[in-house]
Amino acid sequence: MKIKKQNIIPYLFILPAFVIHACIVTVPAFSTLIMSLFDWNGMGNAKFIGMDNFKEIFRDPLVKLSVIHNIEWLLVFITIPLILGFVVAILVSRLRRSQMFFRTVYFIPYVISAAVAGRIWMAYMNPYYGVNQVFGQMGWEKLAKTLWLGNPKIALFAVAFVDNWHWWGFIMVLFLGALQQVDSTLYEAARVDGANRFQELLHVSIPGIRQTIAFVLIMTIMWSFLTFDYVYIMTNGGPANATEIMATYIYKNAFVKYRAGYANALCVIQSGICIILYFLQKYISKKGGMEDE
Amino acid sequence: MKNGKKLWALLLAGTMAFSLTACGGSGNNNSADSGSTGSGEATQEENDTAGEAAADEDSGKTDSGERQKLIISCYLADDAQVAVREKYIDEPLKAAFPDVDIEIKMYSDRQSLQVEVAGGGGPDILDLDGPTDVAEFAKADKVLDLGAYADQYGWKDMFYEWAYNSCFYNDKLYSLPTSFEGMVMYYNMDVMEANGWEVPKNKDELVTLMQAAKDAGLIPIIFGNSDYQGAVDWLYSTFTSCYGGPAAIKAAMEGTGKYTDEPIKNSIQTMVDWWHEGYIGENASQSVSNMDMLAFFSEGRGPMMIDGTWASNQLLATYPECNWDSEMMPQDEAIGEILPFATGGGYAINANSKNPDLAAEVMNYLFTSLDRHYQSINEAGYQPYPLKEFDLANLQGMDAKLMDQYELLMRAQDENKIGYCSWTFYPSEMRVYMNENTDSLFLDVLTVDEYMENAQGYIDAAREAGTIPVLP
Repeated sequence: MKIKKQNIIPYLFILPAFVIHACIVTVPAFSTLIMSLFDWNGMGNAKFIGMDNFKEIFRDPLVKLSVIHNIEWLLVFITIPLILGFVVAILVSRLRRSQMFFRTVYFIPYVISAAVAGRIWMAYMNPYYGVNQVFGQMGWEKLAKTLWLGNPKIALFAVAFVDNWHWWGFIMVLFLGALQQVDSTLYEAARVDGANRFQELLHVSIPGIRQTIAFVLIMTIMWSFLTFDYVYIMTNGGPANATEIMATYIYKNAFVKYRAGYANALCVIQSGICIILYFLQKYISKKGGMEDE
Repeated sequence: MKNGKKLWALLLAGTMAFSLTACGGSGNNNSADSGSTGSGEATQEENDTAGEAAADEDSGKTDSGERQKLIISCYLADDAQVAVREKYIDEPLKAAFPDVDIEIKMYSDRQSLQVEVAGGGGPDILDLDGPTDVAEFAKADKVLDLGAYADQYGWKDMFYEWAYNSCFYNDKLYSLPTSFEGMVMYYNMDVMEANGWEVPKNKDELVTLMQAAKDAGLIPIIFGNSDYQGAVDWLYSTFTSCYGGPAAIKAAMEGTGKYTDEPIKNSIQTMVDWWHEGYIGENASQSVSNMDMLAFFSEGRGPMMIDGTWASNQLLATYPECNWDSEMMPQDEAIGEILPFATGGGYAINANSKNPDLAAEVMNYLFTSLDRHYQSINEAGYQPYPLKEFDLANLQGMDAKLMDQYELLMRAQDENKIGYCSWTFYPSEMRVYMNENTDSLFLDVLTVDEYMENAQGYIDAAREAGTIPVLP
């Protein structure tokens, strides 16, 4: 088969980026896969141990606990910020003069670094001088005695609340941008056909931004399994491992327990979970008409 | 064709997910060999050869006349701390080694240093967290055996035996202790005096005081670890040493006893019971940070705080108005007074260093320039090196509370009232386990029996591997 010149040129344009990506992303990523088969403390010589790290992962109760926490995290993030972001985006999209103001206000938490926001919220959630003092003064004794970050039953959700506070504004801006791209003549046509606001939303707005919804869903699913910063800063996986998630457990194994080989194996498992969830979401989105076939 | 596209999509998605989660490869040219110990030995031999070559050079310049460079790692510090360090370490070093470019390099976190060393680089002298940290570098052949230098400079006779011996791993000396510290009970004397309380002399009096403080609406023993879970090692090191007894711990580590034996188990049970009673941290220690802990203590939210001797400098610098005192943990009459000891850090020589002899010479200078050292303790609150020659008489004029604390440390040392802090005397895997799971005891996620059994498992593993720390 004769290769035409015009067929080669586009590949030449993407070749430099591909080479750089292969060198600094793909090769190190695959080295993770290889190192998962070694007993390695992260510094010295590694010892090949085959699948032993993976066998240990399936016996390790903390891995199971971490995955459960990631799933709980995912359930929170796939519902609350998406619904909140979407509803507020709809409301803000109807504003004319003050739209920029609200867009900015809701987006600000997203630009605050996790380290700063995490520390601020830790102070708010401190039982001795945080919001509990306010609750106490208002006579809400039960709330005043709540240990937001110290009670294993609620600590994960307290941290998720803070990450949500940071995250939902970004989702709102994505939805708002998508809503503004929907052809206005479709709304006019719907009104001519007698559609009310809810029907406009259901039959024009949502189908119009379905690809953005699919994108947000897929990124939320993957990021929920990769999240690290707020948990690490606010609870460090505690109390009593109640907020341990895959990423913090990987970090601890790599840098606290000096078990880099095991941490690499955990990375492989984490990647596997993300890939499965990615394709599951793609399949459901296509079946549900969220994405084109 | 369609299947081909799907295959590509799968491969690309897989690569993307790996890219996002990869926590790094080996970063080490030698790291992926099939586990033969031979290569590790080869690395050590190469380093020894490099050391011999370096020995031929004078301490300042190479044969070609170029100035030698030596890098020492240190922890991240603010401007004020850097200024102090420059006065007491950087400048004296430059004066003592005028022909050497000595750089003190700050590392914001441990993993940056670890990754640099793993990659074949890093500073010549590593300022590490202590024996358990050094052991991990030693396992990887990333720090040099200092045995020959110890003979050359007579280090064995310079340091207190307990501190010097704690720096051995697999019968080889890999570091030198940069400080010694201990766990003590701090008392806020204003709170004590306001309530008419006396400093308790034994465990029973302590229980009475804790109950009185609780009844007065105070936090009996202020403690918090929300920002650093591992701070629980201050607690279990104190309780096992003071109420389990050093003899029981030593027996467990040496294999003549078990960590599950009644004395140690009961001491852990006491710690858990006191936490449940609200005596330690008022059942909210997981919501209070280390910084809060000091603030609460100095504000008088409670009369007592279990903390290390390092906290005294923080109290003096941040809360100069606080009227505090420190004593050994009130004794269990059957065991007597015990002060859990630890070495706070360790200097080791990077196996990648091109100037190991010079690094050893610089280390020797730091431990032998005692005028500089006394000045740094007296004026800047530096922790003392565990040197036999260390004489408190040279610290006259320093803060009286700090002086009292040093006297306490020296007395405990001289009278052999030494207990064991986990970060110096426990196998590192055991310490990690206990740090991660002590809160589970407090929050009833784990039973004391399970906790002790698992801890004993780590001792057994360390004994089998020959990596059990040496206890004095």
